[in-house]
Amino acid sequence: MSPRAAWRLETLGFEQVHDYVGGKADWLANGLPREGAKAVPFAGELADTDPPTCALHTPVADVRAALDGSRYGFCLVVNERRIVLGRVRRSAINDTEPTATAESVMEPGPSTVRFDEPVAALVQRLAKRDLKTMVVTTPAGCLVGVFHRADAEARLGPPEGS
Amino acid sequence: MPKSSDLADLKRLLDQGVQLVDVLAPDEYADEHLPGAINIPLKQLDADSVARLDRRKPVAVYCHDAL
Repeated sequence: MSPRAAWRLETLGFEQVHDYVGGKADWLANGLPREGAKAVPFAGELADTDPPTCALHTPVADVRAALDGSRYGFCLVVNERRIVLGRVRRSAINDTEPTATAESVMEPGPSTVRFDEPVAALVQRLAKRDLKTMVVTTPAGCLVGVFHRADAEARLGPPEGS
Repeated sequence: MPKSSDLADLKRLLDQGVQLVDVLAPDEYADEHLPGAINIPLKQLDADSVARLDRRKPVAVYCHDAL
């Protein structure tokens, strides 16, 4: 739609016309501000933006230390741009050599949602699969945070039909 | 010829004061839109509806997504 609008504006005499190809979906998925009457909360707005993270080369001993005393049962493996590469579960490192790297025990490519995932729908989806958390990233894969179903339910009430 | 812009381009254009036009239907615009955008639906895009824009200044348009 916007390419046709851009061309039409040019025929109407506009000299510098730009088409933002990603559109509203891209803008919202990146967690940028919005205006309007629709007040549906987004997953990214409720996400914990400071979950445990580590690098590929981080020793398991450090991952274990990061998880001790934390509410998390996993540590997200990110690169220097905070792109999510994998996830190390606490259960996977219980008997692992402390010097082993996160890369050697991580699960690659954990499931993620975008910032603008509607909270109510996400809570229902997680409840149906008995999942407690979901990783939130930008469309480029950059970590926004971790969405906790319990936090959302506490704030918004339990999902309908539960 | 219109230029295709990504998010980084748009942010730069916004910093420079680009005129931002949402070409979605009015109800979609009312639900949510980019800050500062004005709504001129594609079906209403003509000489009259764009009279409030400055033809000499950059203008950026967007719809829902690239599809």
